[in-house]
Amino acid sequence: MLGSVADGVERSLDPRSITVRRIVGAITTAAIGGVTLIALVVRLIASRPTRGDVVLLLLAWVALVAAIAVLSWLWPPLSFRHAFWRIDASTMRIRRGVAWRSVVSIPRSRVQHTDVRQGPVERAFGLATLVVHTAGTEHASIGLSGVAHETALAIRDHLIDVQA
Amino acid sequence: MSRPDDDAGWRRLHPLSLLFRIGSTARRLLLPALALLFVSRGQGYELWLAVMFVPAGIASIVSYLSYRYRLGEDELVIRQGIVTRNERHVPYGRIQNIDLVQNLLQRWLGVAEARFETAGGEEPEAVMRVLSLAELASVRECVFREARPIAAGPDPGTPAEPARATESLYRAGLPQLALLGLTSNRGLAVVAAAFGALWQLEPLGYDPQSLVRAIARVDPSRAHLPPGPWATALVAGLGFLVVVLALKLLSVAWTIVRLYGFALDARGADFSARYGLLTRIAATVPQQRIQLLSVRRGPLQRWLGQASVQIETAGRGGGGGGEGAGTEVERLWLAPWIDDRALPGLVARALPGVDLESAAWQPLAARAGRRILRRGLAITLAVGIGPAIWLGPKVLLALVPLVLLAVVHARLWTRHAAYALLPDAVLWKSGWWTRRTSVVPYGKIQVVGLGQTPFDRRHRMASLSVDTAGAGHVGHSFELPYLDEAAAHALLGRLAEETSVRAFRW
Repeated sequence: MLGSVADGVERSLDPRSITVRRIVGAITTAAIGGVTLIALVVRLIASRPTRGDVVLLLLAWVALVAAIAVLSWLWPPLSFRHAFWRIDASTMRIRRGVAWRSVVSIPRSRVQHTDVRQGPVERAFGLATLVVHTAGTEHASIGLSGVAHETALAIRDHLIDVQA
Repeated sequence: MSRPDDDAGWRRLHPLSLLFRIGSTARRLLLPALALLFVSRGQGYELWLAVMFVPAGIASIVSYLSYRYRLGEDELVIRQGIVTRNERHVPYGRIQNIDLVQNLLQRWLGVAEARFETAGGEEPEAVMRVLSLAELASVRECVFREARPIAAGPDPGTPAEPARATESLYRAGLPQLALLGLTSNRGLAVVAAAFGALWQLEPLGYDPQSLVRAIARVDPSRAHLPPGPWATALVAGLGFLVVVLALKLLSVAWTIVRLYGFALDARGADFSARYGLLTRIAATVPQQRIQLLSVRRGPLQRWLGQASVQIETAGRGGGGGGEGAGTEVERLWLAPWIDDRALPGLVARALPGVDLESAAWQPLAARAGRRILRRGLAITLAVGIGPAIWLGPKVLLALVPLVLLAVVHARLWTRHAAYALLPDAVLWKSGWWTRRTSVVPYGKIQVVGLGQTPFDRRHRMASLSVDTAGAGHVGHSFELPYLDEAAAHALLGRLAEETSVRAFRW
């Protein structure tokens, strides 16, 4: 199992991560929509608006929520297409970013410790987030979310194993 | 302390600690107490003073009595607290450095405050205030004797132990410190602090607004000035000059008081810096623990052929005093003002195997200058467009100097920014007004990152960043912008390779 993650081949994230991120996006959209709607209603009740104002504000609210919803539906596959990770004998490399791209290269000898985290949605889909901690200042912790749980565990074992 | 063998070796701080603990508590309570005294004016509120001071005094005594430490086989153990007992174990190998701080009174009494720094966190891992100097020497000896095998590992270039003789590396005289003060803007901070302190006096019946009003009352029209805009400009210019001069003088004074008698010594693989006119500070930095070294040259320094050398260590690096500790330890300076000719020797001592002169500097991407210029022009335009709409297009004439500055900046900046790879370290320099050159040994690199903005991608460029355990106090972050895309990727691979073959030791 260890040999299989550290083969120097660049891999995509787990495709299920698109679904996970869409679900998280939907929840976020609903939360933002709900809060803004409540705020809007309270504001409207307090200020006795005309019918035109009400319609206009509600339309603006619908447009905002729709924009967020569309974005959180379209963005996950886009960012999935630009996210890769690769592990070879000496380093772990994470490449991602749609418009602003970044490559982070973490030498295995600099890994201080690692976390494997699972949120409720991730757990339902068998995915996990791997967090690698280094002694660095800016990159003190680097997260890789959207990999299968067993893959995250394998990477963790690999990183820690060579450390010892 | 229940078992008899557990009792052995526990030591208390110096009895004078009590004095300093009460002193620091009193200082914290001084302003509110004074305020109370003035407000009450003999109405019997003095009782409240006792209410404030007595518990604080008792707390000081209790905390002194409950503080014990032990120098174990390979760790420092500190016990503290009565209600909540706290026992802290600090392995000697994890102690980055021990700093000594002595204010005037402590110097007179022959005691000092010791701060133990480990790699993590902003605050010192342990603060001992105060210990006698003899006691301190034994603590120091104990910690660093134990730490030696870890501190000086099989790093190439580290001289074979034990060369324990103290060797003087650098001394700063008064002229050097005065010149350093001229380049710093500390005076402004001093004035700001003094102004803030005025406000603290408000409860004592002093009205800080009166100062502001006094300044506002100065009516230029009533002064006996020759009329006309030129005279006004002259007076304003002179006034500005006087203020700048006064601030510079304050900066000079502040720098001299802080860094008076700056002396850098090497003892085996450790550096120790001692400085201070009133409060003396002795900071130790094991050579192994230097994460980044930075050479700074301002215009005055270049003209005089001088430089400042700063370092970053893991952990704090400098700034931010610990709990109740009034004075911060600046471990930033390796040499505040050093002659260019002495610089290579000092750098070679701090980072064995690093020769700044041998660097083969690689330039940025060919079109970097054009991008910087374009950005400068865009900013200039953004600044000017608002006023131009408001006040008419004549305002745009005022932008001409800004445009010229943008052109000069773009050209000079690209000319002076470069990177270089040495056998054991990576170098990067930038800036044209104040020029900085920084060095990170490969062994101290943590993470290498490459970033591309949409603009970068359009121009086939990328930026490269090198992350270390230093805390960024030097003010020259290792970030190389406007590199050729291919060169940046090659550099990323090379640095990752060089880093991974070297083990990281704190």
